[in-house]
Amino acid sequence: MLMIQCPCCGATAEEADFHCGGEAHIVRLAGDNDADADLGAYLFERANPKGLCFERWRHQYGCGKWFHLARDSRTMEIFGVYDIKAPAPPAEIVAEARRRIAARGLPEHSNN
Amino acid sequence: MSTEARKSPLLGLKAPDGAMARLSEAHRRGMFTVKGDLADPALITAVQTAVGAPPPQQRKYVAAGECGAIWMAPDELLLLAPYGEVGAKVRLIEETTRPGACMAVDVSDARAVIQVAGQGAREMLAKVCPLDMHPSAFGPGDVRRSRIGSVAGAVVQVSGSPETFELYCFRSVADYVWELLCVAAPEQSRIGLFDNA
Repeated sequence: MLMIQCPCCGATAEEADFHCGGEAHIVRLAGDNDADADLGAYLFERANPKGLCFERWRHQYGCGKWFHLARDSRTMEIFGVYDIKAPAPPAEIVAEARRRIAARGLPEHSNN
Repeated sequence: MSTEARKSPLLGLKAPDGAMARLSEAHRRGMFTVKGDLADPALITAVQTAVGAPPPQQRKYVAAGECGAIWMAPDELLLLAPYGEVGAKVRLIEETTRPGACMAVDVSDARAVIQVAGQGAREMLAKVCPLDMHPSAFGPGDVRRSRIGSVAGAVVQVSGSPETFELYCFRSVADYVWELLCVAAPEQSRIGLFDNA
């Protein structure tokens, strides 16, 4: 069970109070791109990394707001939460995640 | 909208005997939702005029006589007032804020309010909500929205002495919440979790 601190209302709550909205920072297709392969990739293909990942979460039983969360899918360690409007992970959260993953002697992503 | 309050959603349900805390319903509680920028001076003034208190801080509750305000989300308040006065207060907020800047809606009949009072109230809530109910983590004036059993609800501590909590849940699940609390209530099941806290 993850304990997550919502950056929108400041409450620390258990995972079941939240809903995971999947991989973050998926870039929309350009407006005039209607190629099937690109649309398929945009809709369905996800990296599902084993290691550092960035996700969207919603505090569905609390304040109802969306936010971003950085965590390690191997250790379930949470490295930080940040604004839902951020187009990319903030540099300080990425640096903190890398530092803590390295401290565990793990690579940023594992292959198997 | 009917001017008569709807029937209690808890008709026919009794408070349990031998409970560690007293259960009761705050029926006919007038409630209206205000959504908007809570830092907007016009909205702050409007809320102050409507309920006699400024918007509460994050995850806080303020009471002012028969009125009150609950912080629900970064852009949402649940304001409390006597049932019959809600319509006028909603109009007051709409008229004293910039059109389109905020929204006020009478939701008096949307939710049920259940009061849990007494020495065992804290322990009883700890059984049914995934919240840290330790007095150092949750005190008078604190608000948390979470789950009560398996439904969404808000827990508000309205008084510290005697310890009194109010549970806000949708009225469609009020009987479930009531019966859940009855299951958690028996005095024999009390372990005194927070007695020395």
